[in-house]
Amino acid sequence: MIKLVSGDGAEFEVEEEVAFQSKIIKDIVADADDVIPLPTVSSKVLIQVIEYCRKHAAVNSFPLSPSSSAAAAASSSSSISYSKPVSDPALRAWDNEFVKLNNSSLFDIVIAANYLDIEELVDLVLETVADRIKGKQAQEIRRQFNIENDFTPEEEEALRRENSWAFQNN
Amino acid sequence: MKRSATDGSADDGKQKRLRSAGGEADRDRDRAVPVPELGEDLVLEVLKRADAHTVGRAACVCRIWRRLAEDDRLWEAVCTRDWVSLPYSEMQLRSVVLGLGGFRRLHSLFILPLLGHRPAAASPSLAPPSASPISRRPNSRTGKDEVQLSLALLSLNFFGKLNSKSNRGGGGGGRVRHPPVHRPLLRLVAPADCSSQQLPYRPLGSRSAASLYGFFSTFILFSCVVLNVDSAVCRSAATPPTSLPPVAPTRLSAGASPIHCSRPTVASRC
Repeated sequence: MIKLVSGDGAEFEVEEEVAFQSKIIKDIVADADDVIPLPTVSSKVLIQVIEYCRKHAAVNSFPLSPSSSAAAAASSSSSISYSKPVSDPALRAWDNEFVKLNNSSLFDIVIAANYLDIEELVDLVLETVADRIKGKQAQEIRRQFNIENDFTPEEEEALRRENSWAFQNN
Repeated sequence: MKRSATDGSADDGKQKRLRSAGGEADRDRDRAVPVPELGEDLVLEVLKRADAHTVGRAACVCRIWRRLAEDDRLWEAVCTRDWVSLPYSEMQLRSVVLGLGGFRRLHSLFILPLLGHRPAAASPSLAPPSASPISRRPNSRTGKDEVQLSLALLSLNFFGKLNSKSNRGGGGGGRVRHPPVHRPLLRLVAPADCSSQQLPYRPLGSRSAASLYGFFSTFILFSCVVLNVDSAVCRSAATPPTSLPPVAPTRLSAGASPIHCSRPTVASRC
């Protein structure tokens, strides 16, 4: 068992195969402790991250069925792929449920997952966030990401002209 | 400070065992919560996963996003995500396209007009769970011919610029400037608003004989791919003149016809 300590002092005991979904934790455990302080991750976020890791560790520990391993091989042979689709349909469904969170929680999770180097989780959340801004106007994206518009009206107008193709037909 | 896992029970209320239901309570959709800042790296990664139209709109969000939306790595992802697999490696494609002006330029001038503002298919994470994972974006893959046409046009466009620049630069009084030969061909594909120079474009820093040879052999590479010229002809055409230092030829990956190209020269200059 490995003990993870969140930024607000809560401790979580998790099995190795769950914690090792994070490459960083795997590296730390290899050459030091099995008590790992994670000062930048709050317990609320850590609970969600562990929930994800637990589910994926459980599914990944079973060997792939012939059909899903063939599907994985086919998808990995395609051209540049930034997202590796999860091959198990049940796990994909679970993932889709997992990311039904507000943007604030999702961003917290992706920041933590990025820090912990959990590639699949980072990918899952970024795909979701990309979907949420798809086809959105700049104003809506600003609202979602809590960004202030720092363009002058003239600059914004010029940019809209330059990118006018992006505002058509979609 | 190392503590063994067994003394965890002494840690009164702090200790929490994770239960599977732990995340349920947090699944609210409360939008009043302040949104944490993602950081530039993660925003870039989000944009890499977005379609071209979304990236175009994202450029209008704020100054930081505008800078991120100009990143050529992002446009490489946007361009190549829906391409069929090509007979050259990622590295080869990248260095050649960067040499000829970059993926953003490629997309804006040639891919966008070719696709005719085709709306992108649904992204996988919102697809119904029953859908097969490999059937994502079923009809949106760009065909080999479209890809190669856009690459060839980028290459022609580049050499057209080079040509018109050298005409202008070397032109003494009374010298007639010939329009680049490829203009009518470009007009076939690029609408008027796209053919004007909207993007930052860096011309060649040096026009030494060696670099000209490097670009010229790249041009031959793409021309050969598009026109399916016999490989023996390519090899003889790509042979350097005796007065020039020979450029180390690079062999294409398996399955491609043996054409020579000199990508390092191209990549290092732009």
